[in-house]
Amino acid sequence: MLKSKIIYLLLIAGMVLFYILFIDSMSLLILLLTLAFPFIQLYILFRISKNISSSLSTEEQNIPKNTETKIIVNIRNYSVFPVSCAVATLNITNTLTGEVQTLTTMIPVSADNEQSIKFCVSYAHCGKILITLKSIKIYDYIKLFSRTISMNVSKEIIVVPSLVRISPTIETSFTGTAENDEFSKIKPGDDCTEIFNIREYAYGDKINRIHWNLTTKLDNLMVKEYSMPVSSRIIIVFEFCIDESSDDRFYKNDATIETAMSLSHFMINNNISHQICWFDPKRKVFHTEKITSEDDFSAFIGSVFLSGTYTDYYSAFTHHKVENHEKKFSHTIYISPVLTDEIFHNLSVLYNTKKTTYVHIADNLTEEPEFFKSTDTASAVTVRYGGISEGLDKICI
Amino acid sequence: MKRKKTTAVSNTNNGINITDSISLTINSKYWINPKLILMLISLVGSSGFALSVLSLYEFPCDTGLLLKAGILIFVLCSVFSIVPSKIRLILSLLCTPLLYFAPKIFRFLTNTYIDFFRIISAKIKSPITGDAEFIPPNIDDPDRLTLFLICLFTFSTLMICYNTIVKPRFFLVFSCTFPMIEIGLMFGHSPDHKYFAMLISYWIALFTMRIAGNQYHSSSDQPVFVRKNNIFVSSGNLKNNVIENIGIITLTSALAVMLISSLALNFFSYKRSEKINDTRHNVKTAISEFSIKKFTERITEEIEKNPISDRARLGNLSKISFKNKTDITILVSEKLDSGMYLRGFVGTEYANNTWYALSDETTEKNQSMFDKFGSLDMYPQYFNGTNDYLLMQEYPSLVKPLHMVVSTSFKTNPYLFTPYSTAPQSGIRPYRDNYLLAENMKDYSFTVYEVPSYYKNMELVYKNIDRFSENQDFYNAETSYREFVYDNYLFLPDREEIRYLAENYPSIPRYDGSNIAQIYKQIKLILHDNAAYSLEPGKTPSDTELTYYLLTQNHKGYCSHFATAAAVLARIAGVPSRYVEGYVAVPSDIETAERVNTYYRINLMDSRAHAWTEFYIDGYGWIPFEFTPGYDSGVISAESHTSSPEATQTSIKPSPAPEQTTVQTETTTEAPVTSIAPTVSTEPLSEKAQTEVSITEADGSTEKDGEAKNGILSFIKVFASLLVSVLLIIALILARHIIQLRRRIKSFRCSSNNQSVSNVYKYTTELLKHISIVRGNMLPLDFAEYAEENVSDLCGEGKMTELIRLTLKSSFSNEEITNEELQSAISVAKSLAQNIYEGKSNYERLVFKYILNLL
Repeated sequence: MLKSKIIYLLLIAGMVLFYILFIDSMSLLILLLTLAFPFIQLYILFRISKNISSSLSTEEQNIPKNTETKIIVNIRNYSVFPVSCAVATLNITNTLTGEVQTLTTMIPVSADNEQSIKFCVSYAHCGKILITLKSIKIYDYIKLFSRTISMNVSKEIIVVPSLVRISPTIETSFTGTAENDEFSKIKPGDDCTEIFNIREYAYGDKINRIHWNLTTKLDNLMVKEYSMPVSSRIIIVFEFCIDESSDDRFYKNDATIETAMSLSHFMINNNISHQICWFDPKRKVFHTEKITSEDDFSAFIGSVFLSGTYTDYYSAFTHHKVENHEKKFSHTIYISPVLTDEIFHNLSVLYNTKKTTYVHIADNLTEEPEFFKSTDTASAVTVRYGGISEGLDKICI
Repeated sequence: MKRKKTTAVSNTNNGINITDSISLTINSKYWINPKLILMLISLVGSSGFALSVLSLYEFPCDTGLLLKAGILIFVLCSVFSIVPSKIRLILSLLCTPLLYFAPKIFRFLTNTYIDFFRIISAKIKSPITGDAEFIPPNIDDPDRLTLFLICLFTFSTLMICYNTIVKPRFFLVFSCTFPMIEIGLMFGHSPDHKYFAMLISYWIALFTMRIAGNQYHSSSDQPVFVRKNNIFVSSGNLKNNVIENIGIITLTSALAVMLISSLALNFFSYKRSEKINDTRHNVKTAISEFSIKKFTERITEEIEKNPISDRARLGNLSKISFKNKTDITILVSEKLDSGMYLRGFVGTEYANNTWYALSDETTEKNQSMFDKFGSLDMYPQYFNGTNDYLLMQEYPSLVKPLHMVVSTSFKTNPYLFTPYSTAPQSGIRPYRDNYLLAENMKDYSFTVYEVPSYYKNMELVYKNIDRFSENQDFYNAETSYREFVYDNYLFLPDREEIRYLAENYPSIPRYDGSNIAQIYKQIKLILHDNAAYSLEPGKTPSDTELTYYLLTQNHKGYCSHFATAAAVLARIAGVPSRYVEGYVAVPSDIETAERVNTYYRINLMDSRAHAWTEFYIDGYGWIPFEFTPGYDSGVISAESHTSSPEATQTSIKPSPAPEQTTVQTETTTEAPVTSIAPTVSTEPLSEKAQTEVSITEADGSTEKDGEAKNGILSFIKVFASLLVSVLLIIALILARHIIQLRRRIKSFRCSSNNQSVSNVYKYTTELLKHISIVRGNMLPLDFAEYAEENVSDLCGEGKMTELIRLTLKSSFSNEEITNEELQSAISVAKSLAQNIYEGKSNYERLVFKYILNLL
């Protein structure tokens, strides 16, 4: 634009000189035209700016990682004047990882027309993607003036983590605790403290399950079905921290959440209710969600992306210790991309849990330190972000 | 629907990967086919060019045939440009057999182009074909010229169509079409306005298309979008009709502007002002006189801070201004009875409107004469002083010796500014025949025989001529010098203008050695009749003699012009004369001189720089004569002159310092209201003295008038500056007020009514704060109650509570505020503001409205 302005000023100077030197009134007409021309451009620019709008849309709302999706920018120009150059700048931000990408397009826009520009974008890391078109800058035809038109349109895409199928060889040594207070509503079990159903006797039923009082009243053999306890007092604590020392920090971050979600999903499929907690640095809140069904699980995924990441490695663990110190757990699973002797030791000596498991999300190459070994009180599990399912095989719930 | 796509290459800066698989969808909604638009633009361009050329040079050709051929040519050229490139190639190949006729066509063109250019040459009255034949040649066969023009317009139309339709190439088209028009324009001819307007509009349209589509142009095999990092720029292959529309919009708007401007000029009967014509003349002169050599000379002078010092260029300044700084300070032991000249540069040789100091060559040639001066210890510089000393002996009451100390403010001073009638002084030595040199060129002193105006009194001089010659040394020196003077101070350049002057002013009598008074009067009469004093006379064309230009064409000038003209006319009449630049102390300067110990201090401003003429009086020496209007009383006096300008000035370019570097003293002179001129009087001395006394009194009053006038001018300047400042401040305040008001109105019309109500509330709290009702820590409803108590008379009963309730609703309720509710809130705020405003005094209202911007 500076170049254009300089050229225009030189042109004006030339025309003034021409006007002085050339006696005919034509020189004045040319000078007037030269002087009037920027005003015409300004008027056109003004008209266009009043008649231009834009919108943003995406092809999908939720996409897996590394999957291309399209961002569509619609620019509508209702004026009779075409736009020689419209500069639209999109800001694409992963609110979870803080990654930012800017995308700019410079296009002409026809008069009284609508144009759609589609960009293909893929996301390597899970999180909530916020796409914003704040403004469109338009230029006049000779690039003397520009005008920025505020748009402030945005769109969100959720890049969902991959759920890893956990191998059935995982040792499910869960036997319940004495203080179960939740039972399956669809499946009978063996917990005699809670009756699931009463039905007629069928061949093979145990004799001690016969409800004698009712049998007497109904004059038909009735048996009691006991409930199956589903409450397990298992808690999954995961750190959503960024290991800044690692080049693969975002991959480790993805692996952290994928590990937590895969474990949680596995437990739901096996009717193991549990709690999952993490720290939200944005609101400075320690979230604890009880997961008993698929709905709970979906809600958890939705809320976890509203959180952000942090660099204070032990935030979730610290908050867990403070906020849950009065509760008792059968198993505490701690998932973190960072591993230190101190935190492993602290986890080992947690007094309010029967069992602890430290799941370290490691990169594919680094050897685990010597102190990271399973003990009587704490299990040490390493999950490589390239092979989550292999790592989870070692977990004993 | 058009859909274009590029190949995909991903950019992986971080986890967000943008592939360059970008697609653009455009609704195919064209009003007119883009190619037709481009054809229309080309038609305007090619017809504008052809008609402009024809109207400019008025070729004697068959216009009917030309018109038909032009239409056919345009159709063929535009079709050629519209078709796809492959077909264009085939068409070009099909045309190759025509190359067989190329030699014939070439021969025809070479035979006809001379006629073509001769016609142009005749039109512009300037030889462009190498010969000086301006008369239109006889065109025996107009068809040949018509055919030549058809060839020319075929080329131009093809150029225009191809470079408009295929790809806009402004610079190529402009460089092909402009020169033909430019030749005519350069020589003051203009094409028919409407055709030229078409051509100019076309140029502008093409230029705009080029600039607007600059980033889009690419080769045909390039993708629609070009990517650089994450910036996607659409290339020229994006066929979306934008460039075509821009072209036609620009073309029509340019044509409209020119049409409206033309109508307006006709309506208001526009006529160029004289000032612009003067400027034109000056610019033309400057351009015609510009040369690299002169330019480098000027640059060198500027760099060396040593401007031309051995010459005085005249007529190269269009106007002069003053810095009003003191250039010279004089301390005199006695108050002078009249004004005084301080001689600086002395111009001996005159050529090309430039006065040159006595050259080395002439000096060397006359070295024996200068040696004789040395041996006699009698130099021309001291002729006046020597003779005046004798007069002092004769007239002791009239001639008084006085001591004078001169200090200059120039960084370096090439020569001394010397008064006339100086006595030889130790430490000061004469140089050549006109300068005095001192060891300290900035501060020096003289003994002067101050004879009030006596040396300008021819009667007195002639009466004592014999007495002067009694001094043998003076006689010997003067006799030798007189010969030298007549050899060197009568020279004039051999020019037609000088001869014209000699022939056209026969009223100037021939110098016979005694009629200097008559010659002086006659020259002065001629000058005053034919020229007026002006500070802005404009530049003198270098090819025109300055005196001739002053007296016959320009009729205005300043002291340098008059002094030069007088010297030239005097030389024509046979009077040895020379041009002098220096300073002049007018009687008012002397009157107002400040007493410093035993001296009187006179400050000579740059406005006292001046130029005058010296005539040589045989047996006496050089005497200054004044010819500048406003200096017409014959003495350095204070006689007010009704026709004299308020100011006179001169640019003084000091002569070279002998054997040392020189420095320019660029000085300007504010014209004294007084008159300064040598007396050429036939009155007896006693009466002369009386006349001078009476004139001096008049000078005092005029000076006071001048001071009063200057005071008024200064006051007007200060007042105007203050007025402009105040207006500027008012404009700024108003602009701020308007901006704030627009911003507030906009904030009341947000897309969300809830937000608008919040903004209304914010504005209301500002108003309340203004009348010292502040919410503080009060809860909203408590504040509503409190405000209600205080402002119910200003905005109505219950209105404030209602507004706060609406604000709470807008902030905490899921419901959207309705338009009616919003309007009600706005009216409450407005009513509050209006009532606060009305309750204030006028001053407070201004502050409330324009400073605080609350209404």
